[in-house]
Amino acid sequence: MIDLLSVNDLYVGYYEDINILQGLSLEAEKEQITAVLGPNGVGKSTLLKTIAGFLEPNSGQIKFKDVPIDGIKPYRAITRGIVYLPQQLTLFQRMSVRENLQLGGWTIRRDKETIDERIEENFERFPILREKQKQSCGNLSGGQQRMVDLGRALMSDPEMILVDEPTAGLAPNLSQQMYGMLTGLKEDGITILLVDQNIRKAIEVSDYIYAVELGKNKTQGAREEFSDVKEVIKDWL
Amino acid sequence: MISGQTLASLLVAAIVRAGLYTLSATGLSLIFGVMNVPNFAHGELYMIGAYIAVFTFSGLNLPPLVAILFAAVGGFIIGAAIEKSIFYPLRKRSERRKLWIMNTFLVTVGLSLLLKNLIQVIAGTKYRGIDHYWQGGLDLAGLSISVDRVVGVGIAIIVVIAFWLFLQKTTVGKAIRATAQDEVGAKVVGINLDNIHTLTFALSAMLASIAGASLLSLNPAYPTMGLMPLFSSWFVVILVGLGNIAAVPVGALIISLIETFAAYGFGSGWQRLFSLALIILILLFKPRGLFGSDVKGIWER
Repeated sequence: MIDLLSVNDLYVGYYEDINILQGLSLEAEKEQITAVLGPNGVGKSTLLKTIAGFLEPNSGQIKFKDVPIDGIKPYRAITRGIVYLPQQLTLFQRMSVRENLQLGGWTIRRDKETIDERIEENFERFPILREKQKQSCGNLSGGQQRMVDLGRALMSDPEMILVDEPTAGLAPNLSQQMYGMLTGLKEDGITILLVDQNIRKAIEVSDYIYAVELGKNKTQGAREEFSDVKEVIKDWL
Repeated sequence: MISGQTLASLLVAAIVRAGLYTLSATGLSLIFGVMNVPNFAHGELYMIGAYIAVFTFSGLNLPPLVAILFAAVGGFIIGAAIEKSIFYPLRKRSERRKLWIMNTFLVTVGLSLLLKNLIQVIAGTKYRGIDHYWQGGLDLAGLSISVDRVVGVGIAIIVVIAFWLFLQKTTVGKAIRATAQDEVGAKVVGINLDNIHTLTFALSAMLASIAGASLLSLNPAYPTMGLMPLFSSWFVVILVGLGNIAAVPVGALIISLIETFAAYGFGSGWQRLFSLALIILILLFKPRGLFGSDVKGIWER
């Protein structure tokens, strides 16, 4: 059991004295999917933003591979191996699929060969993107845009991906596909921290689950312990 | 009726003017697109370019192209210094970004006043022009055009094309466009926005500075010379759509044709009336400009 990421007693807020996260702690184990679940507005997205360096914690520690990373800049988080996928797609809509993937390799931009190799890997993973590589991302379907988004994140060869609501707004069959892709990434050795509204599905794909309420830990446990989903979520509905 | 000869020389004047507007409006559009800063000190960067060229060309007796190169480099450095000393700290302190456009507007107006007065202290209020960079004129179908104008337009075309290729083909250029299209996305892929902002402002200042330097024989350097190019650049940028860099040359040509012919037909005091009337008309029917905007402004987030 190796914890790749550990968050300890984290306090974060958008204003100095109003904390959204109030002493949250969690660990994400290497090459596993760890889910953070909870009702709207409990700070799940805030947690991912803070780990990715988009927000600075007011107090508490975040360690990645035993090195403190709280308060680092987003571009430093990437060079350490953490990539963040926000809920809203953040593709460069007026650029081609290929250009989007290229920019995903921004932190290794001097190594053109590796970038081309990884683009090729992405095309093998998502064959449809090879056909669409010259098209603007704005012209792709929602599902294809999700693929570019995920592909772009893989360009920096991350050890860990922070995923925020990957299936929000997707049709059921595409959702299913998305969870399949996340499981595939885990099998490729990538650690995933997943924030999701789709509680039932998230529990199904995750190895370990944290339930969060009002910025604090509520309960946690391995997937088997969360088999009775109804019991877990009855307070949230 | 306008004679063929007059028409031809008006067209040439309009093309020279369009080259100048393209250079300076490209930078203005870029800053708005990438940083959401409406730069009302853009004319002063043009002015700085003209002064640098005057001092290197007639003061130090260096060759014309070297003078223009000095202006380009000087503009770049001054632009970078302005971004790092003014906009960078401002951005750090306005995380919420609600008032960003209004704040930066006021800051750039202040900066414009500051730069005008600073140059007045350094160089006085005198007009500092040059007769010409290069001797002589070219004969084009019976029409004599000074070499200065031809080279001025040539420089504008080369610089704009080079800049366009830089934005389209290089990784750093793509990062600049990416930042304009989706700032969060740029952060997600690990682009350091602080560096991109500084680079963008510096490049934009460089383009304005080159414009001021390359047409020195037509427009002598003086402290308030930046006002007219500032207005014209804004006309162009608003006409084609804020942040839409690709369409800037077209807009520049439209505005300069209108202004040149209006000045000829009704006197130079009236030229702005026509370009402004056109802008009002177009904005009434196409609020995002003729060709639409590339900017994902902060009001759309």
